[in-house]
Amino acid sequence: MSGFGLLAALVLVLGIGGGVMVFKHHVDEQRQDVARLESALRQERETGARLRAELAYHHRPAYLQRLATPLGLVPATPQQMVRPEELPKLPVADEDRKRDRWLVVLPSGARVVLARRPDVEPQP
Amino acid sequence: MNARLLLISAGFVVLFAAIGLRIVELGLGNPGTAVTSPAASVVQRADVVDRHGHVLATTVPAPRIVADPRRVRDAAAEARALANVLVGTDAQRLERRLASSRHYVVVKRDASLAEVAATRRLGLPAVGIEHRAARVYPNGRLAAHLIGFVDVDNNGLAGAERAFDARLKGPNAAPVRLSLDIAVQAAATEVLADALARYQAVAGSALVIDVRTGELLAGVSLPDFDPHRPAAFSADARKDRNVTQTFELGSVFKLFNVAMALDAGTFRLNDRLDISRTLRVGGFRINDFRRRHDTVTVAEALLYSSNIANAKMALRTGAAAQRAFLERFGLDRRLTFETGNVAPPLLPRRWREVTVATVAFGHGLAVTPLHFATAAGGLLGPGHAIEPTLLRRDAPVRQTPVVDPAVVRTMRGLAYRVALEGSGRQAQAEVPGYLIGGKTGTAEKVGPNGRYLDGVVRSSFIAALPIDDPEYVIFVMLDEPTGEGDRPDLYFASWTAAPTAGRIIARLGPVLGIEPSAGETAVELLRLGGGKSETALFPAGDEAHAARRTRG
Repeated sequence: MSGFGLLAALVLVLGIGGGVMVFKHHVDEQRQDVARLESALRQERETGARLRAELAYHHRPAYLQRLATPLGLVPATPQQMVRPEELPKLPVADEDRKRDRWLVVLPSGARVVLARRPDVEPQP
Repeated sequence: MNARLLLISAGFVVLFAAIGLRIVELGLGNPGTAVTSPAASVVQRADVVDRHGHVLATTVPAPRIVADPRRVRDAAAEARALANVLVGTDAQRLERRLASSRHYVVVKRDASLAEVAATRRLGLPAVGIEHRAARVYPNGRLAAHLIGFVDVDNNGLAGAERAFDARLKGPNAAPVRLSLDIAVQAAATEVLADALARYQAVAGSALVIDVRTGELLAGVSLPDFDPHRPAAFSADARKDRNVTQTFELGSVFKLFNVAMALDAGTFRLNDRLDISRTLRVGGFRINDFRRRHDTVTVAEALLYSSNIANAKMALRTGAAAQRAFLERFGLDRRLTFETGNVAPPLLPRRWREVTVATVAFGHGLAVTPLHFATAAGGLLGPGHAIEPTLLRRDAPVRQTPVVDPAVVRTMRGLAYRVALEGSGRQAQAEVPGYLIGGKTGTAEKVGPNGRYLDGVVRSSFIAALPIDDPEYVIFVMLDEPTGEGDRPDLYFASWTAAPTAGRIIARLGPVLGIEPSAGETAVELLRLGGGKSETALFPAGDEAHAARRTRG
C-alpha cells in the first residue's frame, strides 16, 4: 500500500471514529432527555396521585353535606322525584302573570313555591 | 534515511490507527454509567374506586426525612434549621433526638414536596430523604371493612385490598372498580349511626344489594375503624359483622317458611291455622309473643309473625322440604364473596322435629347478614339464589327461578302487607312515596350459660324496594337496642330496625333514582298478598300518593 493509501485509510478510520463519537454523544443527549422526561412524567404522575387523593378527600359525602347544610340544601326526598311531564304548567291567566310566586301541588302531594326570575319578563 | 522516515511514519500510522480504532470501539461500546435511568415511581399500587369512579383508596408519595445522628455536627443548629422548613416540627425535641446515639431517626413522615426541596437546600450531610409511598383512604372510616387496609409494605391485609392484591400491584395496574356507591354507603352509615345513638344499640349493620346483579352497593358495620391505623382499634371494631359473623336472625326467616309452604303446596294463602294454644314439640314449648287471635291465615301468620303458625306450617311440610328449600337459596353452604372471609352458616347437626319447628321462625340456624340478605333478595326478587359481589357487574345475572313465579309474586304481596299493616309499618311510614315490602325479626341473644336472655335482642328488618318488582334489598340489624325515650321496652324490630330501614330507603331512593310507585300497583300487591281492604293502602298523611301514575 502506498503512503497516500495509508494516509487515506488513517483519515478514514479517524473520521469514522470521530463520527461515531459525535453520534454517540448525540444519542447520550437524547437518552438524557428521555430520562428527564421520564422523571418529569413520574413527578407529574405522583403529583396527579396527590391531587386525586385531595380531590377525593374534598368530595367526601359527609364533608359536602356539612358544606351544603348551611346553604339550606338537604337530601332529596322520594316525593321530589317527578318526571318532566308531571310538572304542573305555569299559570297563564292575566292575574297570574302579575304575581311573583305561585304555589303548585305536585302529583305526589308535595307543595312547591315557584318564583319568577326578576330579570325575565313574561311573554305576551 | 528513508528507512528511518519509513519507520517513523509506520509508527505514527500504527499509533493513529490505534487511536482511531479505540475511538470507534469507545463509540460503539456501552454507555456505562454516564446516563442513569430515573428512579422508578414509588406509586406501585393502583387505586380502588367505587362504581362511579370515586377514589376509595389511592397511593401517594410520602417522602420521609431522616437523619443519622452520628454524622450531626451541631445538633442545636441543625435542629433549628430543620424546624424552620418542616411544618409542625419542634426544634428542641428534634435537637434531643439528633443528639442521641442512635443510627437512624425519622425527622418527619409524609413530608410535602416543598419541605423535601427546602430540606435538600439546607445541604446537611446527616439528613436524607427516603422516597416512600403511603396508602390513603380519602373517605376515612367510610366502608373501611369492605375496602380494607394494607401493611407497611403496601400489601393488602383486609377487604378489597387483600382480595384484589395481585390486581392492584404494579406500576401499570388498572384501578379496581368496586360495586359500592359511596353516596349510598354514606347515607346508610349516617342513618345507622343515628340509629345506634337513638336506640342505644351496641352495634349495628346495614346492607344495600342490587338484586338484579348481586352487587353490594353499601355495607355498613358499626363500630368501625380508621383504615389508616387499624391496629389502634379493637378486633371487634375491625370485624365486619355483615360477613364474618353469623347470627340467629329470628322472624325474618318466616319469609322463607311461608314461601316454602306455598311452593310445596301444603298450604294456600287463606288456609287457617290454630294458634290458640302453646305448641309442644319434642319437649319444647313454642309460643307467640302477643296472641291476638285463636286462628290465623297463612298470610296473617306472616303479618302477625306467629311462631306457632309458622312452626305448624313447617312441621306439616316436613324437614326434607324445609332443608331443600333453604338449599335452593344457598343457605346451607358458605357464601362466595370476594373478600373470602365469609363465615359459614351454622346449621343444626340433626334435623329433628323441634329443629324443623324452630328453623321456621329463624332459630336453630345462624347465617351472616350478607348471606341472609342475598337469599331474601333472591326470594323476593328474581326467584333464585343471588351470588353477591363486591365488584361492579353491569349486566343482570339470569338464572332459572327455583321457586314458582306465582309464589314469588304472592310473597311480594305479603311482604308489602307486612310493611303496610304489619310489623313493618314504621318502615313504610318513613317513605310515603315508595312501596316497600319487608319482614321484621327480633331474636333474643344467647347468654354465657347458653340460655336466651330476656329482653336482650338483635332486631332486624329486611326490605325490598320497590316491592312490586324489587331492584334493591336493604337489611338492617341492631344489636341490643332499646326503645326510644321513656319506652326502653320497645326494643322490637318494628320499633327500631324497621324505621331505621325506612330512613335509609328515604335517603337512598332518590340517590338511586327510584321513582315513587302508583296506587294501582299497591292495589295489585294487596290483592296478591291476600288483603281485602283498600282503605289502608298508604300510611296516614299521604292520601295524595294514591293519585300517582302507574310505574313505567
